[in-house]
Amino acid sequence: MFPHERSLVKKLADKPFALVGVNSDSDLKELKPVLQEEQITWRSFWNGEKGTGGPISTAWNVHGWPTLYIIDHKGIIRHKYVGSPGDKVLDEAIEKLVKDADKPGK
Amino acid sequence: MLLALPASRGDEPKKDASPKEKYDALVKEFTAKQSEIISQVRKAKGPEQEKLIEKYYGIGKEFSEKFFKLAEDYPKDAVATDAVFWIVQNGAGSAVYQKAADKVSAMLAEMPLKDLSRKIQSLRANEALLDAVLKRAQKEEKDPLAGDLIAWAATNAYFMPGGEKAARILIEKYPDHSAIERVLGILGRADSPETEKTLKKFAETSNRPNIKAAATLSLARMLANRVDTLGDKPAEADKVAAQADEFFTSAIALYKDNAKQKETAELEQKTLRTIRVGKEAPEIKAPDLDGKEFKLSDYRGKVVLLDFWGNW
Repeated sequence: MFPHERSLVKKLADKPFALVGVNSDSDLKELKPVLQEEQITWRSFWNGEKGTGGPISTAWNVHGWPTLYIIDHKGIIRHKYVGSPGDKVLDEAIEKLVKDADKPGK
Repeated sequence: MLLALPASRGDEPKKDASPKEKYDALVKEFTAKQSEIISQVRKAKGPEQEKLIEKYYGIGKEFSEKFFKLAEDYPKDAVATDAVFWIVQNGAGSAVYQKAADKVSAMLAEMPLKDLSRKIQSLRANEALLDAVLKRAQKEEKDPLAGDLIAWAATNAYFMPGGEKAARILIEKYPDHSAIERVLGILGRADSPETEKTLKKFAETSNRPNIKAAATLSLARMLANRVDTLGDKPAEADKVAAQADEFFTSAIALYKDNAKQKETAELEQKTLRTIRVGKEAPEIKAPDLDGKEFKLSDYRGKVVLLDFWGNW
């Protein structure tokens, strides 16, 4: 289910990059086995028991899943996508920002 | 000696069932089969699940042949029309699809406009239907009912080129149509100089308050979405965000008597001001899926892909 996420994490393992999730499943018990099966190794905030109506998605005005934000190494939001823009677009955007983060004297 | 009785044929409609009864029975059978496969899909995994999903899409094709036979058996009955429409809605890829689509196109060209306008309201748009409906609307341009056909296309096929074209025709030729407000909202989802010009025209010159408000809000949203694409041009992002902000303010004022729309516009303006491309990401401090608390700012110094996801 998350092949691209898994490959991104692997590819950028030694780079200044992190995949952080915000999960909106209301039932954590049912979700746990899925994390194992799908090898979801990256960390996720839990949006709480209200699921898609939880505090984090409300604060970020997220109404469509998935919604992706790319934040640069200085904490500035640089991209937002509602629905995946496709692997190529996503990877290019991330890699460009990772290059900037890697520069000496950033 | 015992008489050998024929095996029960309980799943076939009675020999003396009416065409309508046969049609309804087929629809019921199709729906039941769909539900059955869906519940199997939910329990399956991996390649088994993929096979079932394929099977799900296959039953539309399978039943198309049964519906086509029904149409051929009762060519003068109303079910013949219903059956070919059913095929065009559900049977893409079946051997009889093109024949059904051709019949539907012919019907759409000839049906009284009033009946056609009513019939399409229950249909989902696809290339074949859209094409036939737009042709008919063009032929009967002067009839106000043609506006209903265009409105159907603009609101149901907005994601197809024909639907976009229909939106522009509706705005240009039927500017008083009741669907204009909705179409203006839909238009704002695509960002183009043409769309911006159209929305600005309605926002600035319409003397109908609800049209003015809808165009203004649509424009605000279009520009707010444009900000999301300007991550590498912070100065331009600020400029476009300021324009969007102004349009939100106008929309909020125009919607003073519509609490729901006003509230929505206010929320979107608030988001634009606090969380947008070009601004610093607000802190998130919350537990992870094991209940342990962590912060978004823990990752400062790294590029973060923040992924709002769910398993459904």
